[in-house]
Amino acid sequence: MSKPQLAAKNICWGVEGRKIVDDVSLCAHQNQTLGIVGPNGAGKTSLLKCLYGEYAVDGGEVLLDGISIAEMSARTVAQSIAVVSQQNPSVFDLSVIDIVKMGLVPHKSLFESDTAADAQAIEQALTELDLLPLKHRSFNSLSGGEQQRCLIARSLVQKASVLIMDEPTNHLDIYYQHQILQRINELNLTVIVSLHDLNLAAQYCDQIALIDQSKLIAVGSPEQVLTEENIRSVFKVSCVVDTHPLTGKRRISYGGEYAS
Amino acid sequence: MTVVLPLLLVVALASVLISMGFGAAELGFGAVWQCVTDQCAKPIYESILIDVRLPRVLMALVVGFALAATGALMQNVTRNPLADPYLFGIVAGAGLGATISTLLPVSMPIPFAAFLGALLSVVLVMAAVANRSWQRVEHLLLAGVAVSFLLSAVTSFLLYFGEPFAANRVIFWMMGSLARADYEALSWVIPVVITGSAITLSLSRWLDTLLVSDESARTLGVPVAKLRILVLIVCAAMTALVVAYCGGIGFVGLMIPHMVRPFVGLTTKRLLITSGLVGGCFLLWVDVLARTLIDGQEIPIGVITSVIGGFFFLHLLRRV
Repeated sequence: MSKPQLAAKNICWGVEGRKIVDDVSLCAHQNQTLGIVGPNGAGKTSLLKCLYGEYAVDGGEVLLDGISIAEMSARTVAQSIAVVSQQNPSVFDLSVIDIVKMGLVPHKSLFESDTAADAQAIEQALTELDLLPLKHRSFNSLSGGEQQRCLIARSLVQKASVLIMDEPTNHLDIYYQHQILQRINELNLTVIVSLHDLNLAAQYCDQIALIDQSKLIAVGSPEQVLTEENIRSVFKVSCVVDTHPLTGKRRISYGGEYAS
Repeated sequence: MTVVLPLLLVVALASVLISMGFGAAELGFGAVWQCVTDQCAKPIYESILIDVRLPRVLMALVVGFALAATGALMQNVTRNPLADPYLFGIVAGAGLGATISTLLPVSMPIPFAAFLGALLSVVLVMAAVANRSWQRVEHLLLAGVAVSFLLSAVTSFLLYFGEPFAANRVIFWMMGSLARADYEALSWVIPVVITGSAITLSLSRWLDTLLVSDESARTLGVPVAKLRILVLIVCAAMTALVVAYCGGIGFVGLMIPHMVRPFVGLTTKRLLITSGLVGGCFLLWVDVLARTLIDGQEIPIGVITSVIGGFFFLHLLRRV
């Protein structure tokens, strides 16, 4: 297995005495995809926010290449970790290129102007994510899949080695769900992604962390984590897990609510 | 931008020259042009142009620039299209300062007292949202509204019980006027506006990230809370000084950025510079109207900007 890049060591985070992330340890390895799965309210988004430093952990530590992010400046963290979070439409509607250009921010001092190399990096990111024809379109007018691609293009310009994505396939049709996850896999980045669809997680993630009620239930390969027993006990649905005839990965077929 | 900026600079320069030809004295554009290119026909013309009209025209340009630029900044920084430079009760604070210096036995020039009042309102807003909550834009906006109402209430109380003639002076001051423009006032306002604009322009790369969301900006390494407070303080300083000398000139800061955005986009650098220049030219011509619309009498400039602003927003409403 490749070397660990972003790791959580016994991290805890909570609000008003209630633990939302409770003693979670996991590790994302270089150029691999770690999926975070779990039911609604399990604490997936909060866990991700702890990992990219939006929430300062109450206990434990988050290590980026072996160094605690609490000891790093926000700018240094941003040079390594890019985030694609769930977006609410902004009142002020920026163009695609304006948003992609923001990826330069962690690498620029305030008085530094854009160079030809920056323009090339932006162009390349737009090309890689098939956004060139849309570069002057307003962000709010894009479809959900295009918006996700725009934010991924920003993270490419950010030159981050770790990409954290919070439910990027939400509200996307099947085509875009696969398109986004396929693109991410092709980028050779360390990716931590929260997903609702266990079949997508099985297909695209090298490692999966299963979260329930703020705690880590299991972490490991899709074969180790996505077992009928785990799914039944965490998601309260009966299911059959077998091998997908097209991908050879795990396939989960749901039977309905599981009455224990 | 490559076309817009030079064009606006030419318009601003032309506006300064042409508007100097308007005024109570019989000194038209031809005479002004003669003064600029050759020598004034009469020595008095030079005195009128240099000592009376030029400071006023420059003041209009700078004040319009400051109000529109700070309006654009406030709207971007708070992600609120209805934000304006007076969001933190600056006009209410300045009004209270002017009221106290006029009605109470305090010997202090109105601009100085108004500036202190404006600063008081900013300090109160900052104190109200101190600690962690200043990270939330909504808290800042609400605190601004609350402080504005509180200070206005005190002003109204003082005016109600104050001597009527003095109260009239305060009310006229609050309607806004550029009649106080002189080189001393300009020597205060111009450096502050240039410094404030330079500071915020240097932060423009960071400010743009706020347009998406605070969290998005933080993930790009931007110190959001500190940045917002810094920009708000810079805007408050610029606005407080403008209000202190010129009273409450409404709608410029709210309206101009809305007029400019469709042409230059949302990003801070382009929006700030173009809003500022358009705001400057706008106020310059509104001041010409204020001086010349009624013979021998000046209409408070704030009245005209408010009328234009009101119609502009009604027009905008019909288009949306």
